[in-house]
Amino acid sequence: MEISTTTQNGVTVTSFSGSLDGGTVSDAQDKIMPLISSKISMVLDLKECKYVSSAGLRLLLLAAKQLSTQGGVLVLSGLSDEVKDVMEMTGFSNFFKMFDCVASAVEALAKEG
Amino acid sequence: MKIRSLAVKFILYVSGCCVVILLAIIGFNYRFSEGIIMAKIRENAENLALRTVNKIEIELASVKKTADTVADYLEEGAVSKERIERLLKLVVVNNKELYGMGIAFEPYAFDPKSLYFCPYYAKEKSGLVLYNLGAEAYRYFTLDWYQIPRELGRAVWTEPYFDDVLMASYSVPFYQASAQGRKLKGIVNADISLQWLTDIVSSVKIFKTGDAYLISRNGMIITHPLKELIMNETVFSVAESRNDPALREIGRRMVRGESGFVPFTSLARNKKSWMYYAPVPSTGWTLAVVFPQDELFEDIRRQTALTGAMAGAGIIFLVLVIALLAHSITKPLRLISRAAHSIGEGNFDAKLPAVDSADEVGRLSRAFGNMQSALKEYIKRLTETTAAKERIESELKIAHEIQTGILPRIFPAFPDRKEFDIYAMMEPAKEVGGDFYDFCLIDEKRLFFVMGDVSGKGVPAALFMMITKTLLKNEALQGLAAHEILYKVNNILALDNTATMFATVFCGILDTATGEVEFANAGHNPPLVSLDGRPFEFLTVDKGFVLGPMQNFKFTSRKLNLGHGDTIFLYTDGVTEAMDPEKRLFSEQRLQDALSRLGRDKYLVEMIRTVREEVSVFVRNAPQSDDITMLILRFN
Repeated sequence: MEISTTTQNGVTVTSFSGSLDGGTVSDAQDKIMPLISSKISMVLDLKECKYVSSAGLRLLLLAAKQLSTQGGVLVLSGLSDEVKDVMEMTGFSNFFKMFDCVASAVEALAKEG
Repeated sequence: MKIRSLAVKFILYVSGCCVVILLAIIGFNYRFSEGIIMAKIRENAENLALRTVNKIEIELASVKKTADTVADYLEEGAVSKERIERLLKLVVVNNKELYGMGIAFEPYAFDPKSLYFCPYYAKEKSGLVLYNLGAEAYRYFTLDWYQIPRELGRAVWTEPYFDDVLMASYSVPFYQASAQGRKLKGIVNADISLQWLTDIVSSVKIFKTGDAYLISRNGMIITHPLKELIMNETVFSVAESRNDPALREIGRRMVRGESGFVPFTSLARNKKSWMYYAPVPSTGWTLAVVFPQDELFEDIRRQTALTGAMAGAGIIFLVLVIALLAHSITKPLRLISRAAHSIGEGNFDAKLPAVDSADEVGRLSRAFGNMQSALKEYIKRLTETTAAKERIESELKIAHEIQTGILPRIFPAFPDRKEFDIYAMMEPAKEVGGDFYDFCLIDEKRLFFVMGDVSGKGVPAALFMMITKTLLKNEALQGLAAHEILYKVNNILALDNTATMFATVFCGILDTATGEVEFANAGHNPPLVSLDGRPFEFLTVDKGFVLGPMQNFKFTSRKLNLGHGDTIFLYTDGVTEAMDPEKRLFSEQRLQDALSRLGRDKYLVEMIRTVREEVSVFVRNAPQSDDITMLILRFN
């Protein structure tokens, strides 16, 4: 599991690579949550993420909640078909804006901001 | 062989080195002393021999002078027989060196009528005796002592010979001067007994067993401590009998009048010796002095033996000191080793020896002490941790029993209801899990069945699962529609959901009379259904949203009609997302294929067990990553 952060157009872009499951989720939580406290909007790029378990979904939910209390939003980008299926099945797709690539996600957020 | 003791190792190495060093020193010292002694001996031998030669020479010179004087006197003119005899007597009496002296005249030279004239005085045991030599049987002028000086025309020493006693003669010719020139008148013959020479030579004392010999011009042994050799053996005959070419060469050098210092085997004692030989110039004899080798070196041998004994004693002392030292050094080591053994057997209170030295052993002992207390502390903590872990494990075991206990586990669950069959199983990845299933009859006609999956695993998931399952059953028993059940439960869960836990749930209500199923979904995996004899396919569901995170979510219900033999299969993502060691997922496709292969006629138990088996075969030795839960319902 690897997490890296960049800022594009005033938007924090966090890239996650690896598998977001029970084994990695607490590690990922420790790294992603501190990023949120001081930022308003965030793109979570899951292009390199092959698998998201229910524990991973919970992390997305936590992050989104945390952001919304600060008036921000969490958007996702680069989801694989498998991950997209999970998002669809669980109904998460109704609550997360999802983009094909980071650029379009950043653009959308910048427009809103 | 491995040396097991440090003390023995020290002793072997140190004393071994010392022995080698001492042997080298003693050996070198011995050789060096030997060299010095040889040089000294040679010098002494030379001095001794020359002194003795000198002594002999003095004696011989005196004999020679006497004979020469007599010869000179006789050349002065005619002397009467009486005068000659008186002269002889005087000379013999007054010269202790002389054994006897005679004046031998040429035939008819003294008395024209007498062929022989040779008065001779000899010192015999009985006293002084006068002989008138010369007879038909003793024609003296034919003998060597007469012939050789006569022919050579000068005085000569004869070779030693036996004539009653062993003697040697100095013969001087004397002449009568006349108009025709010098004419030989006779020979003065002075005899010496070799006995006194023997006495002189014997008086030469060389160590305890050394001796001296006198050897004639021909190599004949003249004086020797062994009487039988005298006049019987020559240097050459000895060399012959010993087959010793070196001795023969020495003999030749002696005869040539040379001197030298050579190794030699003593004739008297047959011992290794050294010999110095020097010529006696007047007679051409040789004096040989013989030094027994072992006596030459006796002193240094004794000194070397003493040194060796001292070195030996020193090494014994050294060994004792090393042994004591090694013992005192290794004593704490032995104690530490014993303590370590005891600690190794689990006795962490084993007493370590008190060593306060600052050396390596002291440091080892202190380090060992630290290790012991660290180990003790570690074991104590480990024991506590293990106890805590065991307590948690036993609590988890009880939790597992509680959790599995609240899921219906008795099958057939409704033995008196022929309209449907139901079977289910849940297998947590850990002791407790977040998956659940449930079913119950709401009334005579309606069967409520549900499957859920709480986000995450373990105790947090299990706690949330317990709440969710209980709420679902409660709401179902109120007789609500499926989507209403989900709506209510979601609102209750979302109320205090600070941990943002959530659960995906699929629930349905079967009308056991008609086969109609009303179902609603909260983000759960869509079930597989086999309708009208067709293979299993995924049921179209409204996905809804998971229970927990958001209040007031509106769920919707759908309807499905089951015919006879139609089957509905519920599962959690623990089945479809079971991973093999290469992290590949079991997948919906494999699940669908597995169920379709089984068909519609198998017992439900068998179907679930077969699917579980296929999952196991797929994941191989990879650990179970998520709870695995399945429920199957068939309408008859």
